[in-house]
Amino acid sequence: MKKGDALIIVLCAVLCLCLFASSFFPGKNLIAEIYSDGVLVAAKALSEIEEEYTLSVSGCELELSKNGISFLSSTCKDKLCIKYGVLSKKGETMACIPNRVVVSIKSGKDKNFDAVAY
Amino acid sequence: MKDRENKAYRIALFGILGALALILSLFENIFLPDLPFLPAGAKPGLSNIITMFTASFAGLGGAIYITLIKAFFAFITRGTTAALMSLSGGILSTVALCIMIKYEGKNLSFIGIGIVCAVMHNMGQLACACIISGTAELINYGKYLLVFALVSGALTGLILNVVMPRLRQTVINHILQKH
Repeated sequence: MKKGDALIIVLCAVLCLCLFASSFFPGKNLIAEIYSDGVLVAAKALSEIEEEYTLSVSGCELELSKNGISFLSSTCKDKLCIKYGVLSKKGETMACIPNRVVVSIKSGKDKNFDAVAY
Repeated sequence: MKDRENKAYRIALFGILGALALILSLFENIFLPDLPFLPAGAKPGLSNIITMFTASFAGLGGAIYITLIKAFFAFITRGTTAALMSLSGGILSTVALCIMIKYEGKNLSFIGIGIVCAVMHNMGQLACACIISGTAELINYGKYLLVFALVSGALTGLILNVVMPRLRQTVINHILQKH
């Protein structure tokens, strides 16, 4: 290990800390967003979900519940999306690249709205 | 005659290096995706050891050749998406590698180079994933990949720090310069 290596490691570590900084603060009013082909097709506030239900978006079955959102099944080859498990924290994002489906958790800033319709 | 011998030697050597890179990728694909503590889709990039070794004596052209072989292999075994991901990450990290390898020596070892390559590889793949899915939200996933790249890049670099001096003695000096 030499000077240059140490510098690179420190730079990377600082960058990591910066990127993770936002996830230290727990998000409120989490919203699950589902994108297909780059288009937002559904957004649902997690706190409003009473019973879990499934949603199918271009080849992927998604399960939404109070606790988060997960891929149940997918027509893709690698199944990485299913392996990832449940997304429940602010900023978490997972994609099924072959089916071009992306799921992301965001924190809703405005507490006043009670439904999002797209 | 000497030229022809040298050419045959190079073809054989690149064949061996290509095969080694494929075996290492295959090994990762078979045994490593199921480890639960790894971010989904992240791999240690052991075959980058081969790319780095190739770049150290054959330059950008040779290293790109290994990258292309890997992408083609990904295409026939895992489909178009995997091939595009392999290619985007591979090319970006190989270019970074060939720039950095010139500075390898007193102040920089393969650990630093390995980390930069792993980070570039992941960023290339992430950019490719964003383009394929058409969703910029995926950038969020980058932080997990960055942490993982730090570890995996250091690991491949560490291995190369140990292996490289020996390989240099045998392959590069002993055989390449003899012809």
